[in-house]
Amino acid sequence: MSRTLAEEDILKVYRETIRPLYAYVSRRVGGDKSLAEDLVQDTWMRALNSWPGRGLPDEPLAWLVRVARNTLVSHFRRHQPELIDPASIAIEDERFSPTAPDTAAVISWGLARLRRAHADVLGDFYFDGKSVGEIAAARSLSERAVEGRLRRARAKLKTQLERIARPRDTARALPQTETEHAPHTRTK
Amino acid sequence: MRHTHEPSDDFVAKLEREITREVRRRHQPMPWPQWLPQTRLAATLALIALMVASMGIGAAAMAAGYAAQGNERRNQLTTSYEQRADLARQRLAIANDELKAAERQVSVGMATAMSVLEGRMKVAEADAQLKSLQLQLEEIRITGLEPRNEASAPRVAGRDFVSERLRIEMSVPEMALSLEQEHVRDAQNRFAVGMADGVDVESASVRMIEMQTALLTFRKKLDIRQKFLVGPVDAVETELRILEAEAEQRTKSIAPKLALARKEVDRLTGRVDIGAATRVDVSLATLKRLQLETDLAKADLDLSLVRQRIAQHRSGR
Repeated sequence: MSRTLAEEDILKVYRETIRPLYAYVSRRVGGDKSLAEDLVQDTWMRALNSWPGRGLPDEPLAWLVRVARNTLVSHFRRHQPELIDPASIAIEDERFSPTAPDTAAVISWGLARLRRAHADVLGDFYFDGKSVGEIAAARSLSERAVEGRLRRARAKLKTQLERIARPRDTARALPQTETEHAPHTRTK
Repeated sequence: MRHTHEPSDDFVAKLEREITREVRRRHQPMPWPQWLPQTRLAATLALIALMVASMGIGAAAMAAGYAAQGNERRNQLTTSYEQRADLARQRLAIANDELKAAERQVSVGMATAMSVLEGRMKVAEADAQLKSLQLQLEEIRITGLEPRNEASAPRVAGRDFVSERLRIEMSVPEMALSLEQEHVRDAQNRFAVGMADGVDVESASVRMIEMQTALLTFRKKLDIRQKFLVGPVDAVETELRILEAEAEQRTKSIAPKLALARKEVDRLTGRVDIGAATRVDVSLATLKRLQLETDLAKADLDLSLVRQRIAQHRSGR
């Protein structure tokens, strides 16, 4: 890490990272603009608190994303989303993608309550749209290992989401046995 | 058309302005509070004053701690010596009662004058012990420490407690000497009328010499103490000279006892020949003589060693 921290250096980093950082956060809040802006601003304020003492990180975007992830977890641990219809979040359906703010909020709320390894792999899969192969390559794992981890993570997430499922809709939820072992065939 | 997950230009610009403002704010030095010294010299002086004040507070805290410890030790010592003084008072009261009883018996002819003298001796001992403890209590109340009885102890608040106690303790051998002188007269009277033999007179004389020697030693100690206080003798020599005085006392006390023991061996040996004593009596007397000869040799050795050390000290070795 460099300990030089001039105004120009910080602004240069800001201009280089603001868009990927915003995209990372925005996807996890389903495009909720005001929430995404708040969380990105909060992430940057944390950077300004940390960097003057420790210097600029070698990989500023990776640092910001990591802090943004923690900020998201903190936010979703404090705020419980509206009760949902489980049918609207078919997390075991390979085509499911939480693009709407309410479904993204529900998924993020659930991920905030999972182990980091599970939450990260699901976040890559659902929000960043990465394929199993891409996740495996990024994490130096075999595709088979990622598939197993995704399966276990989904099961954990499903258990979490059942806590906020609307009772009257519970009967309409997809039977677990139908999709429990669905293959992850997303390709990019 | 802008993608859903693209930040608005307004937001990007606004956050950049905010970051710029925040970075500049953090780069500005903190304003120096008005209550702090405004110049380098004033700051230095203030720092020195702060250090001095801190040292003062630390020293005061340590002094308070030591004072608290000292007070606690003083209280413990005072309590202990007050208890001893109470016991001494009780012993004195008992001795006084016994003396009065002896005087009553003498007045009605049921006891000899000697028992009154012995009663007075016990009263003198108890009285001396009580007065000595009272002096020690006074010293503890002043110093908060155990009383010091060495001849080289310093004065306490201008008072010479060591000499005061020596004079009080000296009253005991003074009274004992009076008693022994009376014993000698009594023995001589009984010898004159054939009720006692020469050994009884000589035994009483030996005890009288012993008390005279003890009295003489007390006077010598007082003299050594005074020489220490006025300056010509240092603390080491003072203590050595006290040891010398005590060794001399032992030598002078043992010598007449040994002379008496030798006479007793001769007397018993002569009586064995006429059947008035047994060989066991002679052996016991001989053993006593040998013990006294050993004691005397040891006392002589102690005296020689102390004198040698005094000589070495004076020569600076």
